[in-house]
Amino acid sequence: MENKTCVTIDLISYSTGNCSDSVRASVEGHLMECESCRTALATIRSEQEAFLQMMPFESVMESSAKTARVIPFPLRRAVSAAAALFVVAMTFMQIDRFSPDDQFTMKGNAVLTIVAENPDGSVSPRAKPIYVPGERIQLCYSLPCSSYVAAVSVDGNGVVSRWFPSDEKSVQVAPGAMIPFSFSIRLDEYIGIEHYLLFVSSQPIDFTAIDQLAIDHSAGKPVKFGTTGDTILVETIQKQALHD
Amino acid sequence: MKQLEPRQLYEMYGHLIFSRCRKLLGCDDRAKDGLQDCMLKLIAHYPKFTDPDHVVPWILRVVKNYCLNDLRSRKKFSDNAVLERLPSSSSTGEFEMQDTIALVLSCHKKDVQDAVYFTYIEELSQEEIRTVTGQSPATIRRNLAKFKESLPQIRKRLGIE
Repeated sequence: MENKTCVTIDLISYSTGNCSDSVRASVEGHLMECESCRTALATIRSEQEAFLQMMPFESVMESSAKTARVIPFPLRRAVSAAAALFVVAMTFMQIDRFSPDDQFTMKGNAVLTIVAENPDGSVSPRAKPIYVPGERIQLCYSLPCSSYVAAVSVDGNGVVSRWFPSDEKSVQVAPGAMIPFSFSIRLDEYIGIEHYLLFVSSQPIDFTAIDQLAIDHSAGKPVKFGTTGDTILVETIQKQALHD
Repeated sequence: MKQLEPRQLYEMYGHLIFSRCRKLLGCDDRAKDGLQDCMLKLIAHYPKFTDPDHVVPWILRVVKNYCLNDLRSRKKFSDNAVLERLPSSSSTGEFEMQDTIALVLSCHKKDVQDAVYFTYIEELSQEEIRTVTGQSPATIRRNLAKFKESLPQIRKRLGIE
């Protein structure tokens, strides 16, 4: 693409077939005049075809599920359980020490993390968020200051599951890094994308609208939640069927 | 905007992601990891797009972030490796790909890193870089100038003259 009017990004968008009418018209007009872009487009398309033959969707996006061993999630080794319970207990013991409006700042370092058991028995965040039904996961949070939190999940059918708190009484938790919630989640049979959301607020959370907020936020719709500094953290996983 | 199934997204954008990952990571297996990771992000993010023309710039940003993080985390380019790859002049004229990546990783400011990455690795025009990063052409030129100016400092920090 030597011509100064050549636009790499538009040509790539055009090659995917998923572009606006204006880009389509612009690129097609340009292709009439530019030999190097015609060659570039032909190259992209032939490489794309070769790529899909060499690496079809199933071989890439399901390979992890195919090689994953489903191991019953132990309730934890004794030491791990004791450590986790200790952390959770300490978390709730510290709640009273923090004021909800005590210089509440979110500064972007609130994090929701999903951990799961690995084939070697260790429990850690998974490099690729691909899971199979029946696996157990655990949600962990990192917060810069004490906050009210609510954990929910939304699957591709819009089904919302509330995980924390267990009732509609808003609960404040202490700050810290990688603090596990005291429950684990066994993944159900739903296959597809599932979003786990953690609502983080400086004020008690209103649960009347939280399901709809979760659905809208997962769908990429703009949502209004809480006040300045409040945030909704999202972790997305893909659940795939385990193939023999 | 029409919503697409994961398979359709893969067939449209899988090659773009994989080819970039392979170019940067230099290894098919690691590129495949990058492909899986970026595809999952794309599948999750796609419903938020309101314009199909925004998808490719978004992918370029995500792939860049993934690959640079991957290279950093694997410490492929330690300071010593950067030192060995630094060109003898402060010109950014004709770096080898690995040199350029090493230098991009040595940029600590994200704006400068973006300008260098999309100029020397993706070889985008300044208008296209504006689309991807939001930086104006003047800002891009300023960031590239900062990068060129910082090369002697990098060399000094690394103990080479």
